[in-house]
Amino acid sequence: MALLPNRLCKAWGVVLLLLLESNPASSWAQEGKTAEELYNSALVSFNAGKFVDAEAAFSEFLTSYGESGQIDELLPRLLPLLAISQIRLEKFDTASETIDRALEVRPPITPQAAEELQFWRGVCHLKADEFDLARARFESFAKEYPRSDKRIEALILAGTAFLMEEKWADATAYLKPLEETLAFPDKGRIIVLRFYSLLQAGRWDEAMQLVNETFPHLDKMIQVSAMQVLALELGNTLLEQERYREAIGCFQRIWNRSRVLGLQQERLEGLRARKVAAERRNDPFEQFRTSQLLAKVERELKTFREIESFDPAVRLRLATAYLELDRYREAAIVLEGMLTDLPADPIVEGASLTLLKCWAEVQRWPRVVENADRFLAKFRRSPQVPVVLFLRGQAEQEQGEFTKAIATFDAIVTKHAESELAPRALFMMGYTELLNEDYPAAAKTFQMVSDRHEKEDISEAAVYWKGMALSMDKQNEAAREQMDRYLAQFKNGSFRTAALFRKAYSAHAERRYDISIPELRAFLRAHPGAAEVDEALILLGDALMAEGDIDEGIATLKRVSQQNIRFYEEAWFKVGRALKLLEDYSGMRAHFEQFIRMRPESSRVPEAVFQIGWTWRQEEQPDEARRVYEETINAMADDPNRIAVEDLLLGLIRLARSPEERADLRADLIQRLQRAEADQRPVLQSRLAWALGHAFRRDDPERAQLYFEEAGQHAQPSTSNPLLLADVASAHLAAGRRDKAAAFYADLIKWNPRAPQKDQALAALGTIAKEEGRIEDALRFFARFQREVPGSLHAPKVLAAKAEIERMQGRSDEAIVTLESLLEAEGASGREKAEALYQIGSIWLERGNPRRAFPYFQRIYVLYSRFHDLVAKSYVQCGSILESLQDSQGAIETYRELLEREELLELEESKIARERLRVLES
Amino acid sequence: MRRSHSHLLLLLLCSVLLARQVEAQHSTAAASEASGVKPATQDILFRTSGQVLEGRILSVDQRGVRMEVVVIEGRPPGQVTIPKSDIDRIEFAPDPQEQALFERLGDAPLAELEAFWLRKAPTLAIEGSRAGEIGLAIGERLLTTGQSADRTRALSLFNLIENSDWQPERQSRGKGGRLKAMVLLDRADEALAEAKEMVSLTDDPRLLLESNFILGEAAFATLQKLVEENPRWQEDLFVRPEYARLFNDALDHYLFAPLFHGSDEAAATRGLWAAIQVLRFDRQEANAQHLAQDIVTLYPQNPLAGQARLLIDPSASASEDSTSAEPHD
Repeated sequence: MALLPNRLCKAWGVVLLLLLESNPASSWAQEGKTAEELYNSALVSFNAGKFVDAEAAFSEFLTSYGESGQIDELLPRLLPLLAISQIRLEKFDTASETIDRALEVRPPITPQAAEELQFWRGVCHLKADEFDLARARFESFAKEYPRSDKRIEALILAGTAFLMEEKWADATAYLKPLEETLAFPDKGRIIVLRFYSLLQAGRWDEAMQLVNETFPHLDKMIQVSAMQVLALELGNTLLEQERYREAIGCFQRIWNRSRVLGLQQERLEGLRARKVAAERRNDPFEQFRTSQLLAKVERELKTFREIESFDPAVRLRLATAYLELDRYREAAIVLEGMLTDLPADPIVEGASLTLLKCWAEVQRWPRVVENADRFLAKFRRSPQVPVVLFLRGQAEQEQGEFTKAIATFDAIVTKHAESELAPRALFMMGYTELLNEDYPAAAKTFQMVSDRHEKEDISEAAVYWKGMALSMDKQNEAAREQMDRYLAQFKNGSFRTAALFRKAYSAHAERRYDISIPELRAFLRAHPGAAEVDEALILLGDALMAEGDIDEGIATLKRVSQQNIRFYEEAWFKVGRALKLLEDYSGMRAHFEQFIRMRPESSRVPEAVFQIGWTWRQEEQPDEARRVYEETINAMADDPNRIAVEDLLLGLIRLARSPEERADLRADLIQRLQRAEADQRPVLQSRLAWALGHAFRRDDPERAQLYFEEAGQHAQPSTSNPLLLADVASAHLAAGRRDKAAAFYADLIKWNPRAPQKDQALAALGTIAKEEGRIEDALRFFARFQREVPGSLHAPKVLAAKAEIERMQGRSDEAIVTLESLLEAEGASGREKAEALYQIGSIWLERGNPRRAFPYFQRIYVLYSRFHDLVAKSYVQCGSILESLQDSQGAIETYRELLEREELLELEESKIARERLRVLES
Repeated sequence: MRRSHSHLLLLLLCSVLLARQVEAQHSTAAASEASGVKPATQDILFRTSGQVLEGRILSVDQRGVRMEVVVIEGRPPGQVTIPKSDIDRIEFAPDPQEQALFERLGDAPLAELEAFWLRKAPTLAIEGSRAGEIGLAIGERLLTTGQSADRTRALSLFNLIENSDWQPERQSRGKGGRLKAMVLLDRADEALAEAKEMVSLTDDPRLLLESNFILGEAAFATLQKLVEENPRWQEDLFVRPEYARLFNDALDHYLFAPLFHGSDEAAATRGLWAAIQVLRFDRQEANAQHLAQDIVTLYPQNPLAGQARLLIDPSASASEDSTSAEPHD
């Protein structure tokens, strides 16, 4: 259309010429318009974009004068204008004729007009479904006008013709090479067309390849939303074909709806800005173009918005693909956002349930609880509520939150009694009570299951587990009766073996060996492969020996299999004890020697060595006892993995009872240490130095400290016994080397998280930090102490130190709580409690509340009279408080009481009391 | 396929229509080329009054744009400041050198980038300016040197782009870069706090990607530290839950990109590869191989695909090994 304005004036000249030569008595008269007026009117209409009027006027002009030959000169200018008007009116059939005529007219139309019309002729072919002709026209256009700005458009339309013809293979064959010659964004247009063709042609692999290759460049493309929809389509197909990973490749690349819409909106705004700028510049062509574009982009936005539940649909499919690959984590992450972000609808509801199951599958229990709560808030009336509650209860149980789990299962039972999950929920409630060690409640709940749901499968388990609950509650007779009930009721029950064992077990627990022995024998005969066999053998062996049948007892215990190490070692030591009872010392010795040979890595080796030593001592051969220790130590001492060596060394030290024996032992250990040093055997060196520390501890503590320090020099934190590390650390601490002590304590915890010395280490680390002014570190260690080893004997010391920090930081409320917990701590000494009382009293005084302080001070001289210093100070504090409360008589009596206690008279406080008495009495 | 046929055709139609927009965008340049008019060699400032100034943009500040223009023909150029409210738009002069630099932004020597930055930085806030792109490239480069001073400079560059670039997308990248720099400058706590806030507040995909990755990195680093401090964590009742929390946290954040922004190949493969490291750290070799297979299948052209193939099949050819990219560390 750019050809039109330039030619208007020339056309006008031709019209004038025509008018001069034409017969005025023509059809113009019929219309009431002259030729000049008619042509002028057509041009004005065209120029004003009134294409209906323009086409009518041009057509009439042509009809009236076209055959006369008078306007032949004008035709090369008129026909293109008419053709363009018809195209603008989408009259492609008539436009085709006009264009054909224009292209053949003589004199010819201008090259620019020819270029324009050639292009539109192709479009007309396309509109007429003349695909071959359209392609031919566009391809020849592209060749003929290689510099035309419509060349690329022509090539794209040639390819589009294949698509419209549904010739998918031809389309892809044509588009692929074309795509390679173009740059974005035109390339992007081809990609969309090819993608669509590949899908239609069922060429999934190539489509997938296209996705892989093009999605990284999506930001350079315009048709982003089309790509999303096509990728979704491909993903669906791949999902149906069980090509899950490739389906994932499609789904995960799809943008979310808001992102697509956001991009489109951004472009829309850009277009609007351009249109405003064009209006300001009075640029009609740009105005027209941007208006057109605006309409088109708005249409795309509308189309995309009309796709319902786009995001949930994509996410659900993506999650499905992951689920098919058993990748629950990914499925859950994908689904989780749906529950949080999307409005409540059936898709989200179903997906959310799957989400909970996925998190449960990967044991992300906190997530199960969290999402269950979200679900319950979002879908209050969902029929899935019982299922969700059940999953939440399971998660709470798995997290050890038994009380919560019980309440959750109870909610199913009481609020959703009609649910098919109610019987299972009631059972789970009982089972959780069992885990919570509330055995009577568990037994009661299991009974409710069997009463209410007698015909349900779960009833069988409930009957059995009630027996277990009774057994755990040590109601052995009741447990046996319950197991009998089970065995009578469920002839083919899945718990029969376990029930039979538990019956015998309960009889054994009641020492009813007359019952347990035949039942255990029968059990072992009937169920030789049962999981309970080894435990049954131990019980039977025990029972037989209790009944005096030692030989058979030993024979029974020896049948315990080596697969179950705990039972195997237990049986072995029981046999040893039996041999002891029989006073078969040589047999007992041989038995334990065999154990050491067979299980040198066992933590029970020292116990075995001790038993061997005991036999020698019984036979009055203490040297032999020592020899056994020494041999065992020699054999194991170099191996850091033999964790029992330290216990053996302590046993050896305990054997040396007389001063001479102890001196000999020390000399021997020193010699060995020197040899180990010469041989460069650090593990042995460390252990021997440590043993020497213990050997000297009582008689020469300073020397002992030196040996402990030496043990530390050769210790390997990752393998050394925590007992050794604790002694080394303690020695350094005693010597004032806090940094070294802290390092050993830290290593102790690092490499031995379950060591019994962990409490000592945490307490010491906290105290060291406090002493060094690292208050935050100290509080961190104390917090760990309280969390990880709350029942430790070091607790009072830690609590006192923590309270001191809290008081120092002005957190007196917390300090009082800490000190109160110290008063209740097991193992707190009288002194520690008295000091805690004094601290609490002082805090209340500081806070201006003497009435609350008074009883704390009073408790000290009432309950802890042996701590004279604290008692004396408490008397003075109480006297002073009474004075402040205007209770002079009470104060006088308090000061007198202090002075009546002889043990306090030497203390400074007695002088204060005397002085106060003098003042008060005067 | 048939069921979506009409819908897809409709979308295709839309796509053709949209494509015209691009055509329109490019038409100006094409028209000027066709008309034989030489491209402008100077920046052009269009005032709202209709006046057009040609010259060189020197700087932009709160007051307006400072420009070097020839005021009187034949005399040396002078400097004028045009208030922002008077400016309709600015068209930057095409710069072939700049164009060439953009084509090899990742490989260009730092000095060359710096020289361009010096020239272009003043235009950062002006619509159409691509100075921010150079600034971001410099920032990324500086983060790789391992030098604290470079990281500090990168931080200030990212900060500048975040606050001054005219383009929101680059502002986001500036913010992401700033967070990365903060982590490297031992300001991880600050960065983490910001990343956490962003994850819950922003919809910006780039920020979400970067924030999630940073949170993944932080969780994985903490996990590694936890194991270093507690080598026998499996035995520790109190460390095990923390291990599980950090392990899951790292994986969840790393998997954000591949699960929700799979079209961003660089971010997705980076996330997958990082998640593989977490799984391997936890000795979950089979699960790590699943993710490696994801990279191989879904991003076969990505440099990490070579590493992923080796992980799946350690006997893969040595040549593949030599061409593969270094894993993220």
